[in-house]
Amino acid sequence: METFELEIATPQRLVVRASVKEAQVPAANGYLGILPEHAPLLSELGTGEVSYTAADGHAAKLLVSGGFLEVQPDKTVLLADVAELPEEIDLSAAKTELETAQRQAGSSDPATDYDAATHEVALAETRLAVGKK
Amino acid sequence: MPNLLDIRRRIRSVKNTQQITRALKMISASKLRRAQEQALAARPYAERLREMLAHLADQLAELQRREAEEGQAGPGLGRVPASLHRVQLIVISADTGRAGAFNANVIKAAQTFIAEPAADGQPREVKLEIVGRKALESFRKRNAPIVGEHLGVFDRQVDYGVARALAAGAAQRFIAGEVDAVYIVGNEFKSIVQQRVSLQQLLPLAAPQDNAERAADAAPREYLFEQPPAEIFGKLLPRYLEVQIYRSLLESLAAEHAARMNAMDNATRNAGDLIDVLTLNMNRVRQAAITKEIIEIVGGAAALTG
Repeated sequence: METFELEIATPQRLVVRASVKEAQVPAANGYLGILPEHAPLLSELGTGEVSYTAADGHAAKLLVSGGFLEVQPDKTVLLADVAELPEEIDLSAAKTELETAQRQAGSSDPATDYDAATHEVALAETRLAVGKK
Repeated sequence: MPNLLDIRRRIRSVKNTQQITRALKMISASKLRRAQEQALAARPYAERLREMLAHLADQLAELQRREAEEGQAGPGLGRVPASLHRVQLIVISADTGRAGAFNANVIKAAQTFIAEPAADGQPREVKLEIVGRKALESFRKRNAPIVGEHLGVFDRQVDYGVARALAAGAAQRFIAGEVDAVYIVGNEFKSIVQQRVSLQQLLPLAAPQDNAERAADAAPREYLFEQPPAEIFGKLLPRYLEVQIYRSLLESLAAEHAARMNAMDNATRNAGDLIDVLTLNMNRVRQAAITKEIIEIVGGAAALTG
């Protein structure tokens, strides 16, 4: 079975370093499925869930948001602004965040930064999705 | 001759000082461990980012060339300025002293840099952005032009936001043409007993070289770009700047605690030496007093019997 290296790091720490069979990553323009020997590619990262199957067959997922993605045939590197493992996510805090963000995104105040608010909504929603189970 | 009580008092005071320096040493040792861990944890990201830019060095050079030729708005940070004497210097010091030559070394290096002429022979016009109270106080006294100051950065773990703010300020000044180059000076953590001041050029950007890897696969990789290269570089380059500054901050924090630990270790040892000398002195004085008393008693007894 062919595998490739997957590395996910934030400026503060290395979150994942694993040998994987396949991975799904949220690039800025939509999800990207990566298998070994993928053509070299460079993209910005969006907000969403990374899921991968490790070489030993077990599946894992985590949240990433913002940053860069570099794919090489034998290695994929995610340099994320935010990366959180499911066990690090506080569900109740994420729920409150989602509510605040939704209120902000739906507010009629012209001073609202809608881009930031929608980003916050997406981040909180992904947090809930990844943190569940 | 000093009396017994005075010496006792002095010993007690030195012992108190020793206790404080010993406690400070211990605190620094534990903070050092944390700072080292943080610096270590931040390393993979910085390395991968550097590698990524090294892989893209050709594209970046191409972009810089095009920008220089057409004068078009590219990534901005790729600007190659004509002159070099207007400079921003980021100085990283500590908020507190008691760390040996830690702060003095950085301040001295910064002053040497300011006094030097630039590569094009003109005297440097330096704007300072300062991290840490010690350097700030020193340069304020000299009326140096300070454009930014950051205090309390090292109170807890270093916040990435500080690096982001520093990078944003430097990038903005560089792109606007207020400065032609940006440098950073700070202590680097070599080992627990060794800190070194390092001066680094941040801007104009020099694409990191990855010679070993270059030689290994001779043909440069063709990358698929999901976004236009200019757009990706527009985000990648500021991030690279941030990460370099963040790394310098973490290095400085680790070096600060290491320097303080050594300084306090020396102080504790010196206090111990002083206590030994004073104790010897005290014993001598006490013995002299006893001898004197015996002589008096013997003398008195002799006078009675005689």
